[in-house]
Amino acid sequence: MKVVKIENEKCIKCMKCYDNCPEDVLAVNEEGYPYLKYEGECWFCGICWMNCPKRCIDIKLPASLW
Amino acid sequence: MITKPNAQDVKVYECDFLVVGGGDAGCSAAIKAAEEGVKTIILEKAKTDRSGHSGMGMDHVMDFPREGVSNLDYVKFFMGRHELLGGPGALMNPNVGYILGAKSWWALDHMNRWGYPMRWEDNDDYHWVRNGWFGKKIMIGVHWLDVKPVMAKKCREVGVQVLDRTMMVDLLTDKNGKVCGATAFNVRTGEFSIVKAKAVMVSTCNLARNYTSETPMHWKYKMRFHGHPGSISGDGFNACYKVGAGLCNMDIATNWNYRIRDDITIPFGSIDHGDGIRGQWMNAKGEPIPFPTAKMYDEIEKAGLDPIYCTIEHFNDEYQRRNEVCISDERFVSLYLGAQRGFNPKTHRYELMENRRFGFYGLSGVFTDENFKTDVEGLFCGGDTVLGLGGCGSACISGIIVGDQMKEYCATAAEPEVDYAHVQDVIDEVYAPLFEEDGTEPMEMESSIRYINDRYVGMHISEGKLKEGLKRLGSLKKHFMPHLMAKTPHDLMRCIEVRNIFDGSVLHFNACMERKESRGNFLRNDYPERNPENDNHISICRLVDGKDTIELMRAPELKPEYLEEGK
Repeated sequence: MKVVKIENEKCIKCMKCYDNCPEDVLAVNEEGYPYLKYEGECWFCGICWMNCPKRCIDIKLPASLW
Repeated sequence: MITKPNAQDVKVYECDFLVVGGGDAGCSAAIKAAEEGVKTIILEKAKTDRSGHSGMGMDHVMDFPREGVSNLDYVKFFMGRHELLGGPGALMNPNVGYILGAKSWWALDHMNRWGYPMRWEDNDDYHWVRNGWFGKKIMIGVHWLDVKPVMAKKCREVGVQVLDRTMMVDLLTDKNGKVCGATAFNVRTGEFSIVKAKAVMVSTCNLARNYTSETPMHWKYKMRFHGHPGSISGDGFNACYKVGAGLCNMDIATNWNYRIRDDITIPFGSIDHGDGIRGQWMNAKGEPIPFPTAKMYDEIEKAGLDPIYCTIEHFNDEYQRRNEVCISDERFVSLYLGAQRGFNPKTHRYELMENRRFGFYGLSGVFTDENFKTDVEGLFCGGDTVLGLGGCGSACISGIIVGDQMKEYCATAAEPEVDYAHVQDVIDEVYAPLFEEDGTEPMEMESSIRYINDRYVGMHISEGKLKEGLKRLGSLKKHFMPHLMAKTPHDLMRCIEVRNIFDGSVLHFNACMERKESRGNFLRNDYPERNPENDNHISICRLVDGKDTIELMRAPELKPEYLEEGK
């Protein structure tokens, strides 16, 4: 399960999520979209989510943190 | 593709004042120094705009003696508030507490001038909040959801050179042992650099990642700590220790005992410290209990009355509303995650996760005088890295005090000299994991170290377990540390961190071994009683001539001039 989901259809590649992530768990794929690369290191701080100007990031708690 | 550089070829940055860690303390120190014309660089492992404890936001800043609270009253509070952790007595430098109180209003002027949002509403007064431990309204409630972008912008405006995504590897010293800069590693490009400086302030928080994260399941989401994960691998602790600074209370400062499940920090925002209504602790039967210490937790568990909960269901509507504002200011995302869980944050009973250690907090840290200068020439500390400092806003004050000294200090400080042979050794170690084909991943190593801390220190300490744990740490180091493996700069960062976590763990075990008593939340089954002779004694680890030493040092007295002027 992807705990940080970025909707590429809405994403404008502004990179605010990638730039600001304090744990540096995001990366940029070949098409230039940000994605969650180091899932096990995400700490659910929500900084990507609250900085996204297009509201295209969703954070989901996985079963192991329920 | 990253390649290992030669020391002579790496990029060299030069400045007067180097700040390691761009959180509240780091930014505030850098802005103050740069305003006075001091050439300043910040090294920040993450991005200054959203790094540190306030990266997610913050809802209160402390403390500003007022309402009949004298500076001496404040020192008493400052010393006393850690008694839950450390038991009776002064376990820090009271002069640090004194100066934080005495200079707080002066620092507040700076924070206002720099555009930190200090007012509750435009043109409003400060929102004075009662400090729950002290019982007086001396904290300021703030809407600091977006304070870090403000700090980062101000840094750039006043000419601070901010090196984001660049972590300190270690501190550099000259032939006289004076700190003269740092080695640094860019965690995205893999570039290595040297920063030469006449003075360095380390403000990289403390160490927590030697214990498992604050999650129900530890195997996957490994970075969930209450403090800021990126900055709690003890990078600053370890670097300061290696150049000879004293690292204090690495034994007793490890348990705050109140981590909450369910991803919301409701009971610990400003409202809890607010105007008199605190979150209510209760046992499983819903019977009210006081704030539970580690010992009380054990008793409740033995009586079969756990889990322990905290609730705010007794708050009136106005308090519920204000509480929601506090959460929005400090942990905005938790409202979103709470909604996902489907519970009502107003009536939910939040479970105390478990009685165990969660890394080091305010009572640990590098020993400094009241100017935040360590025992090592050229080395200052700020924020949570300092012994006795923990929490919001004191960090800003400490940083501004350090920044204020830099113009004068740097005017007479020795020019930095770089020992390139040492730098080459550092480079060899940093890049070694690139050449390991069949080794150990850094996060696996970190998990193993965390397990050893959990199992062999744990809540109930005994000499036998400590010895076994040290043996296992030694064996882990011998067999696996030389074979750390990494393919990317990100993984190399984790390798640097895990070495710091390992070294901090060894100091933790050594310090626990040395303290042959129980006090506060430090519980030794083989020495169940507190030794009153140790009241007012700080445990201090120090590297002397390459050898680890540890002693119990009597805490300094408050200076006579402060006793006089602080009344």
